[in-house]
Amino acid sequence: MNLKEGRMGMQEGVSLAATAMAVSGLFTLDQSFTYSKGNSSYVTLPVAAILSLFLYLILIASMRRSGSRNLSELLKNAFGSVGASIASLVLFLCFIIAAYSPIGKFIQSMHALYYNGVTYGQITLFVLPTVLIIAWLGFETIGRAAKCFVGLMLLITAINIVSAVNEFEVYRLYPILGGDLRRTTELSFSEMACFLPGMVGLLVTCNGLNGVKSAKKTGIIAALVAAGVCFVAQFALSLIYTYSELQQLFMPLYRLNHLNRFETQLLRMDKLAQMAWLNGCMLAGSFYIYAGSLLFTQSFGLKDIRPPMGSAAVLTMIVLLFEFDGVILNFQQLRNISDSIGFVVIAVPLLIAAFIALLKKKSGGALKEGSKV
Amino acid sequence: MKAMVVSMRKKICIIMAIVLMFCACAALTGCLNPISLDNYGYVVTIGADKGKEEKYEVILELQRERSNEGSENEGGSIILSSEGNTLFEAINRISYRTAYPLNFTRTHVFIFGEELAREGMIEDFFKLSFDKLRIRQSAIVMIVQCTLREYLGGLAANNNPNLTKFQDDMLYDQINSGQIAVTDLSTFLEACDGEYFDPVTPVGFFNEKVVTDASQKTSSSEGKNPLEDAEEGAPLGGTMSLTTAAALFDGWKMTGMLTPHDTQFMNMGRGEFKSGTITCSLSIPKGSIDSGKSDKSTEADKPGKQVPIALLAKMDKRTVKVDMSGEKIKVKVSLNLDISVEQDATRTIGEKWNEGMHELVQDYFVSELERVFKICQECNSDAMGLGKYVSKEFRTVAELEAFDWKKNYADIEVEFDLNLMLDDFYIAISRQ
Amino acid sequence: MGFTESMRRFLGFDKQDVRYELLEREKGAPQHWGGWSDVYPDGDVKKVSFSDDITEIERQFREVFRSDINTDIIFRRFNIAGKFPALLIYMNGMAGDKSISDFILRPLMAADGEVKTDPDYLINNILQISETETDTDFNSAKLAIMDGRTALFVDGSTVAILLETRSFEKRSVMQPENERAIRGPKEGFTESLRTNITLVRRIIHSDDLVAEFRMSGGDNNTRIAIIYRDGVTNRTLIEEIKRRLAAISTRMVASTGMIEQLIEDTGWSPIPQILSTERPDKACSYIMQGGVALISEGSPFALVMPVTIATMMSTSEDIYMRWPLGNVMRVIRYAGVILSLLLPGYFIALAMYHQGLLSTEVLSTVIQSRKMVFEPLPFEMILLLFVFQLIREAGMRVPGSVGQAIGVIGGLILGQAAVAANLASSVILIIVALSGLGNFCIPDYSTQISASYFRIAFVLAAWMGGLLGLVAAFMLFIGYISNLKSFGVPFLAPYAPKTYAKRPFILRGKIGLHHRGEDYLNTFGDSLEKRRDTNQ
Repeated sequence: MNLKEGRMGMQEGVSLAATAMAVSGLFTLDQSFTYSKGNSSYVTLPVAAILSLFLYLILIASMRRSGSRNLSELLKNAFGSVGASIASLVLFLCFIIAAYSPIGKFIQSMHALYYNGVTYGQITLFVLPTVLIIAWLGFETIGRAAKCFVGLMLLITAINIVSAVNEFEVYRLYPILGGDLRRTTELSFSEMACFLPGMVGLLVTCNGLNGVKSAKKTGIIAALVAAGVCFVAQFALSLIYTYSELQQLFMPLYRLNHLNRFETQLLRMDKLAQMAWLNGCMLAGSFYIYAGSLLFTQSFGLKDIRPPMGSAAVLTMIVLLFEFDGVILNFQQLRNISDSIGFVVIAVPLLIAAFIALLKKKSGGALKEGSKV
Repeated sequence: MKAMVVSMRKKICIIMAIVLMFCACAALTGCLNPISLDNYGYVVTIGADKGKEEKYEVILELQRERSNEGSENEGGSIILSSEGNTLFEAINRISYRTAYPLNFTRTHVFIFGEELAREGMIEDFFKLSFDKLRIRQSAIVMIVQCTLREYLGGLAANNNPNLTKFQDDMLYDQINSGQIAVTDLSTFLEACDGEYFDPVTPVGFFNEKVVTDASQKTSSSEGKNPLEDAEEGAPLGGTMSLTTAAALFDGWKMTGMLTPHDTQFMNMGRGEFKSGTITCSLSIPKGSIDSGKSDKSTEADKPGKQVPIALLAKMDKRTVKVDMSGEKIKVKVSLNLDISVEQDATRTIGEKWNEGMHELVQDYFVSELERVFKICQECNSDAMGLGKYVSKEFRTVAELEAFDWKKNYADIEVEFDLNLMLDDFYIAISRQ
Repeated sequence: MGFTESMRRFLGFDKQDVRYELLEREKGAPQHWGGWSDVYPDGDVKKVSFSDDITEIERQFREVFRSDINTDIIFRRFNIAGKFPALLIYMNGMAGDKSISDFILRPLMAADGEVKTDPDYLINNILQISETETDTDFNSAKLAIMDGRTALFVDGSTVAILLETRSFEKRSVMQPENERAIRGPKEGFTESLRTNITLVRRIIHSDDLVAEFRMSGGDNNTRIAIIYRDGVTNRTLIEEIKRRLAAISTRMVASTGMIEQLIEDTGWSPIPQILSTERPDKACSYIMQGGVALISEGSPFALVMPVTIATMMSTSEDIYMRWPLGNVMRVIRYAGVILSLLLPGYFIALAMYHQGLLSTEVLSTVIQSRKMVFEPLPFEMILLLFVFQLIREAGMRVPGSVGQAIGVIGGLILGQAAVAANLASSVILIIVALSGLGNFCIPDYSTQISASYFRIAFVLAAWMGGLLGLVAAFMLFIGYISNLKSFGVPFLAPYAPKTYAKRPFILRGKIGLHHRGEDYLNTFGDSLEKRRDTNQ
């Protein structure tokens, strides 16, 4: 079997999953929808991360109870082969959308803010092959590359936020959470769509993470790190822009550095920061494409991950180019739909699988505690 | 052995095919329209004034590169202008006349003529998408009382090789005096769109009589008396264009102007006063001067007369409390100021601080703050940003959006609660 | 003679072309991708025993060594104790005449009549050579003779006695040419395998240090030695190295550089996966960590494996300097590498696409310096990078002080002239110079060259796509080195994957705390454990 999984340590796993979730959380929100009734994203995003973590822990518990070594085995234990295949197909498509979302957003921002007179396709042809090659090289490579970049991304985000400290004003937080607890709760659930693909990706690649126990630790730390990063970044944004401004800004984090008046190279680093986040976006895309392909391969009993990965790559490219070329009108709605109900599509089958697996008796191949996978 | 060679050849073929495919992809992308940095004209300032034939006259100031590395102060600017009904129309017309594309990523200042600002035409100007021009949100917005041509021409007169730094230095020099209110594009747009507060911009002036540094240098390098052509009473040195004071806005429309002195108090009320020298004349009450003590008492020392005073004020803290319980909104602005007496002919303020001088100075500050607030209120300009604190009183977005701050602003009552601490007064009474 | 005839003679039409031609011997058309058909089939070498008749043995050896035309092989017939015929075979110039005369011929000839011709008896009682070996295989004896040893055959015996008589001219131990250290030892490897092993053993006085000899696998039968610590170095690593060496079957292996290419993980990778060093102390430090060194006869370089990026970037100087200084040097080195790789591409990206990131002063300076330069800026950068490489290569090829002067003269004069002639701008020149200096910070020469390739790739990527192109290229580069392995060890260890290390991988640990080998080498047993066992 050629699954290109390899083995990865906890630090690499945390770097990868946290990067993917933080990028999805910070850069894929539909601004006009999220901030239409006040600004609560500095609460909803971390809460969404924690809720995703709870779901993750439920799935981990059911995997350990049922003796499943990875998510595809859990789905098979719960739904049987046919049901698992259908569920895997749905999750595969969710992974494609999760990969396309941040990539599409970054391509749009670069088209608008960086380059004159180029087409979306030209920019896509720089980004997408990189994503695909990294995914092609395998899980180990994606994880190690994430470990190499995570420090840079955190540093640049911190510098960006600190450089805008003079612009912080508390009044911009008001009305606190928009004054609408119901909407805050709704957003907390819908924003799980930013974090669930990362968590589910960890479940799919359990073998590469050295087992379910190790994957559990990795997931907990990754979720907490992503929650922390999202909170800090969104809180900083909330202190710098009012909710009505945030509604109109396409990529508010990019604008942070624009507020600095000084002429120095260090503080004129808006584009550098964007590029650092683009790295995170590409890694997230690679991770989701890989995880989706791996789930597909395992569920359908294929021996090699490369054909599904090729298909995933082509699908992602098609979705991106359709959006930008407007072949299908209102294709942007796909991202909006995934923002609002994406978490339902991902979470519901997984929850059902978890409960069925928990209720079923332990299968014959159940693992003992501490045994190697 | 043979099998190994064959399989290695196959691998090499596959690798070469993949590499060629990617090269082809890369060739398909083409480059992303690169333009070398020496092919651009860098716009440092964008100005807009009312046009004679069309809606706007747009003036762009470009940094001129030094033609010779060894020359000092060789640089200055190129000024381009055109009229148009929109910014883009004017820019397009300018670009037809220039041999290079314009680059707005270094634009640092937006300048508007007073007439245009008073007619509220800035809103139309800004409603275009600035993302296309890629202008940084930290660009400063200012109004000029003269024409734009005069102002920009005055700035260009000194042949400065780095206009951005020059403009920055001018502004920051003034910020330290508290006599200017600097607003960047982001704050300006937030104020106008958000309606929590109103923007306040610096004002530019032009004095054609100034004998600039550059003209003095030119004359002296030609062996002539640098002040030979100077008009009687003309200011010597510096630039012909200066920036100070503050323009008051009601939303997008300019409604008034504050003097530099008033701007200092406006900044205090706004919470953006760092430090500055407040010059005033105070009427020292009778009995506050011990007439037998000083041998050097002058006419000015006589009780009841207005005495010139210079106080260095540093703002420590500002808090704002809002009370919306009554019919009218009541706002209490509490300020902590540290005062150092810089000039005091009577030499009493410091020495008798606790014997009535404290209250005298405090009353003066409060009265000035109230007077300046009244000016702002009459201009319907929430220059002091009180609306930000009022907005905190609303629990929901619906309530906030339903509230019309500007309508209520005309009726609000503001109380200024000042806490003055005397830092130092020895400089006023001792010789160096 | 008619006109036609005279022209024919003049133009030489009647002359046969008698120039030598090296004609092909293979039959049939070549394959589509080239290559030879099996004209020279590989064959297994079988064991051949000796005859008990020394005349027959002499005939066989004369035939195989072509002694009728090859007079390097000496055949010495004599009688042991005046009555037992014997034969000595050795290579003139490789074997020491004095050892043969004094310690082999004299004692054997002068032995008393009671002497036995049993090989063991002769070895234990008569022969006065320190290292002896018996062998019954013709091919082994042949290799030993070619190696400089002497083969002794006694009539009536089918056993050859191989005697250590190697004494050929070799270079003395000198300072390493390319890896100078200010505070470290000044000895470097030489071309003699024995000397090199001695240099290693002088540093590591450990009973578990093993030097396994084998042939390189080339038809020239060069000897190589695999050096490691038995019981410490991971056994699977040693087996893997031996497996790869055993797979070598090529025409000639003349140096470790060729062996490196034959056993490395990824032959097409620009980044080397094996470290080549001239310094015995460096090789020993990796052996002590749990690595393996490979030395070859005729090559003054040792191969060390497996390696990581930290291995490639460290020098012996780092541990000979005090801890703070060693760390500062390392940080500067890594900063130099990043500067070398990214600075030219980053500048091109900013200059061509993202001018807003540059400050006004830099912008003015660059625009002024490029006023009369005709080439596009990226092309100018690539040209100058290429010229820099030319100067560097020229300086290396020319020996002695002239070579150093070329570097200085080339840099100064060419640079000045290029700026004056408007072929280059001063800013680009400075960037290329800085980048080149950063490149020189890389201790390993192969890695330096590969960094130069990557630098040009980044410039091209930046030219095509600005920061986007540069970032995409850099991401691919990181992905590539993340994927790279050296004998199963990831190239970015111990950073990615994170392995046990008490300090960031860029920094050097404190020597006093250095008790165990590198975690990623999966060594068996540490000195700390051994000390504990000893104390028990």
